[in-house]
Amino acid sequence: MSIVVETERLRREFKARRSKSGPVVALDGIDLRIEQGEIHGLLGPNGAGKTTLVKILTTILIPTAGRASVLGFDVVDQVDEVRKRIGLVFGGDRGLYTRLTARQNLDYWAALYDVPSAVAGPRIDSLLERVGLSERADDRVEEFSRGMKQRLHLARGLVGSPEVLFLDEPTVGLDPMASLRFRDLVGEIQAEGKTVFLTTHDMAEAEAVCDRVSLIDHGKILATERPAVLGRWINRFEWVEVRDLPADLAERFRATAGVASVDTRPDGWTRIQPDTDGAAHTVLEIVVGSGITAVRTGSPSLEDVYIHVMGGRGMEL
Amino acid sequence: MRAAVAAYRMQMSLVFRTPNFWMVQFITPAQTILFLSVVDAFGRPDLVAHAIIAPTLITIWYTAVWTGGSVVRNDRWNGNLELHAAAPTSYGVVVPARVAAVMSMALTAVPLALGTAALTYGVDIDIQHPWLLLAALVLVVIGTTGFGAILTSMTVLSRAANTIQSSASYPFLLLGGVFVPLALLPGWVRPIGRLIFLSWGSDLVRDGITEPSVEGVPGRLAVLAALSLVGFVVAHRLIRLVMRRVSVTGEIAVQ
Repeated sequence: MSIVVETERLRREFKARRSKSGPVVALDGIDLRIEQGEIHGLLGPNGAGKTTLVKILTTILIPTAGRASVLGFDVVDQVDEVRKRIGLVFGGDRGLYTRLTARQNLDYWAALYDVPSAVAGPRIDSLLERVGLSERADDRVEEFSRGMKQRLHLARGLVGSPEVLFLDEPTVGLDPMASLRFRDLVGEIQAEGKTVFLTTHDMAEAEAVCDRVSLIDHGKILATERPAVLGRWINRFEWVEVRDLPADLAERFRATAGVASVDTRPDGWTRIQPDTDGAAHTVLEIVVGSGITAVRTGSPSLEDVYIHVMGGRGMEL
Repeated sequence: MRAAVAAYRMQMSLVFRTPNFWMVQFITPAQTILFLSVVDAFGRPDLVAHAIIAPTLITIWYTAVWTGGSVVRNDRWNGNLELHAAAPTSYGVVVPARVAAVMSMALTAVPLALGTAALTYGVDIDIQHPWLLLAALVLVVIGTTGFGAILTSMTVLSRAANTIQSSASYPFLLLGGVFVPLALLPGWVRPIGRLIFLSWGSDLVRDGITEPSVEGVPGRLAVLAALSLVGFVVAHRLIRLVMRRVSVTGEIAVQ
């Protein structure tokens, strides 16, 4: 599998306005490799550096240090080569000419992506069909719902037939149904062999569509793993709940290696939260050995994993 | 070329659907009446043509400065500037084409001024050299397109862009011989005015309307075309410079 996106010690600083405290570090030594055909998620809270990384990879911003390449082309020295092979989609209302129709928007961007006229027409029709906007192709974008605008954004990003598609928070502000539909479209794009780089702070989105996920915070990649590996982390944080846990047993669990916390709720259930591999298994053995039958277990969501890895900063968005 | 044509067409569609782009045309009738009332009050029928030409050129100029000048600013505010920065076609090609679309609208100032003059003061202008007038007007529009593209790129560089747009206009209109011919201004001002394409353009427009015989037409048109071209080249270079700069500073987006 070839590497499509690669960064080495990528760093980006911004000059702080009205501040004498020195530059703001948005990216701090990012090393990342994305394989051809994968959907790679970049998961992190607001201000983590996700958008800055996308902007560098799409040649909008120049890195302060380090290097980055897309499809083997340097994003600083070979911008023309990079630009004609990528597509970029932002989330939200930005990036569309809302007084124009959907078709006029796509016509314009097709020309800017050097799509020949003879190719552009059929391709635009096909894209509008694909994103479910054929019926509204000649309506002004300002009359569209958020979901429709986002699907038009996606069509715009695909109009140049890119090999790599960058999606920056593509489902932000969408309702759950619109998000699901958008994710289905992303899956279809991957099925065509395109590589997708997606930023999000939505755990469910990362879990649902990504082949691999990089966790980013404070401009640093904390980990890059496949969902299966994240699953091992999930096992690590698998919790055990016991109803009417005797006090002596609660004390025993508190003293057990690998148990992070033991919390009893007013409803009589006590959650025992391990934080190391195998600790949940040990807890369960003790519970069952004590003759307790009111037991239940549960896996943390990616969100919980995210919060554990982020050290609690995770969802302060 | 296809990108430039598409950019022109796209902007024309926007212009027709966005009142901000064409409301500047309302300057023309108002100023035509103003100038004609002065000419009429002082009993100078020989200056009637001047009173019609001035508002026409003023409208063309303000179209470049205000509406043409908003193309990049609007793209920046709407998040489109970043998408252009990531596109294969240089923004330096897109912007002049889009400003040119806005400037095409400015040519409506000609029939507006003539119509207003006819309706309000019963003026019937006998144009001496229609082709010269048309050529001069087209070159003036091209020149102001280049200048508009320069101004619009400066809106990214400077937070004082509006101030620049306001303060730049009056000296340019004066030195461009729009209010009165450059020949009537003080001697030391004239060489400076001759560096501005608008002075050549306004003289040619005036001569095309009023002078039975116009001398040195090819040379004067060539100078006007050359100075207009300089504006385009400067605009193209400046836009590339601006895009490079904002990719370094990160000021491409308005947060």
